[in-house]
Amino acid sequence: MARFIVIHTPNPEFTQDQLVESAREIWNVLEPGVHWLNSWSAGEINKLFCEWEAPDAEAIRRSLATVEHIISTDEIHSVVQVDPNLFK
Amino acid sequence: MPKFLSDEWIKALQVDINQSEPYAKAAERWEGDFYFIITPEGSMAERVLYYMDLWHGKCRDAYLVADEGEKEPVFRMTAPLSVWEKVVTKKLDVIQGLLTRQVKLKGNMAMIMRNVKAAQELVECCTHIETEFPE
Repeated sequence: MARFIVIHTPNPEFTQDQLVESAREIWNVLEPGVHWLNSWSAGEINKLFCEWEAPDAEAIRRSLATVEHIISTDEIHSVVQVDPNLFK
Repeated sequence: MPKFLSDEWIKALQVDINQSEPYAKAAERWEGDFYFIITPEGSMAERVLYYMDLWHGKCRDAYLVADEGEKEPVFRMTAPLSVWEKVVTKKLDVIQGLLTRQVKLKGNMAMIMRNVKAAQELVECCTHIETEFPE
């Protein structure tokens, strides 16, 4: 399964309830084979960087469509993992 | 040793914040006042409110609130005593507390998320105060 980094810009006016409910809603609409693995918040630049596993980028876009008004999706990039231990 | 929920405690925190260079740097652009609301548990009879006026890396005012209506702060954070104890002793990261709604926020969440470092430095100041928590 392919890995993806998804970059989001949260709505700058969101409330705690909107953010948490949106994040919970994502779990209800995930398609088979689509997994939200991890997220990092870069609050100073109002961005979220999220790691996903999915068959393709469109499957992620469909899963995120319902929360687009709270956490808009800027970019989705296919990535490969690089283990730093390889360079020891 | 200041007791948590007392005016003495929040005044001690104000002094610590105003001596903290890391907080001053992290919060240099912050403008916004708070009610920190502690809901009752155990021996607490009623909820307790702390007011803090945080402005550009300094705490301009901090006190135990007698009348909730006397201020209209930009932010209100509410949690039970046991959750606040975990926050101020760094057993629970305040941002994780907000994201899991163990700490309820009224106000602009995005503004808090843009100032995570300031929130963490404020909690760091809390840990400098030897605190007696109620049973």
